[in-house]
Amino acid sequence: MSVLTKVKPTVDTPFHIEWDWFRRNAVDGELLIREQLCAECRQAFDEGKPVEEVDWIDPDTGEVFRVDSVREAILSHCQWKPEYISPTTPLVTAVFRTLLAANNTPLSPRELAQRLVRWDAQTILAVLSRGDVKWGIMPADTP
Amino acid sequence: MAYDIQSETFWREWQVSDEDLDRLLEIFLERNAPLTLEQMARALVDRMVREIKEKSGGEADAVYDPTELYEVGTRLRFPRLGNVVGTVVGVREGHNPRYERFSVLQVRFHNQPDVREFVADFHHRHALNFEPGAVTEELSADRVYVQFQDIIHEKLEAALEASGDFARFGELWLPKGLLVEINLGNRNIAEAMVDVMGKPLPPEELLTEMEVPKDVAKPILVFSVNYALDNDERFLNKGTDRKPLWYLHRLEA
Repeated sequence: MSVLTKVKPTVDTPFHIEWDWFRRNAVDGELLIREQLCAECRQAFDEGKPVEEVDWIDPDTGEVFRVDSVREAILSHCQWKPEYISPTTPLVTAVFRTLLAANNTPLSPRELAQRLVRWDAQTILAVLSRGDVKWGIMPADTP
Repeated sequence: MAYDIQSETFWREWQVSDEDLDRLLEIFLERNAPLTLEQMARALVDRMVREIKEKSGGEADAVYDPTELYEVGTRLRFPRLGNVVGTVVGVREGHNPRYERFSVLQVRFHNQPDVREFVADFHHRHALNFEPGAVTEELSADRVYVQFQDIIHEKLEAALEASGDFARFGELWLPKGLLVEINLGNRNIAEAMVDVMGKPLPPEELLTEMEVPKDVAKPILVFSVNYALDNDERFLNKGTDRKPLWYLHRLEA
């Protein structure tokens, strides 16, 4: 990635969720993730389902990643629900949920637009790069 | 996902490149003999497959199948990861209350510092996008050759003829650069021998009187004689391409 790209992201700049951003800004990232759960999973955790480290299996490759059970629920269950990203989901929420569903694999605005359909790459780029960082979503190589 | 080389599309679109011709030249230098189209095609596919395997980390013992369990030390090819090959260095019990018991393989890949993990002995097909039967067998040059030999032969033959750099006699080919020159003097010796004997003679017998380099492999010498006489209008092959017998047109009554 060129220096210029680092300075000014483009539609091909990969973005991810920078978890450290939550700590630096005293924002409760875990609570934010819980808010993305489907009603069924949210209820399960509210009723005492343990938050523990589990093996999430990438369905495309069989690769296993150790994640907490809240993230695993999103990866294995919630993301497949139609309401996970609905026609009324705001753009930043939709991008956050898309990145969560991709196990935080960096995605460019162009790739996000292909998945989200409702917004074009330029619109997504404009929202992600204008003003303050939203929910820790920033270019993947940002230190 | 299989290798490109295992698909018909790859071979339909395949154009014999300069790189392929260089591969062929190396094959001829190794074999030190003329080759049939089939031998060339087999050797070329074998070399292409070998190069692919070297690039992706070498030979594998098996193609990764998430339903199987593998022992430590097994070398696995991962079709979904660009066919890279990794070695199982550990196995642990998996943990996810969503599924019944399963195992996790710890795999080390060439040039990757971190061990990566893959599910094993996993029997929840619905949780994976691996179609039953989609897991391919290990890439085999023999299978690729057998499956696509017709199209490979056709394209290879056309390319060899078009290049002008290969000599052909019957079913055999040899790069012109490896031919031994059978000069006019040697061809005159051959003519005299047939004249004296009054019967068609095999190239091996004609070579006994010719002045040719002694350090050249016999199959190349024999091919060179056949190629030279086949292109000399005085000579006539009274045998077959496989067992030529050289005679003279002017002795034909």
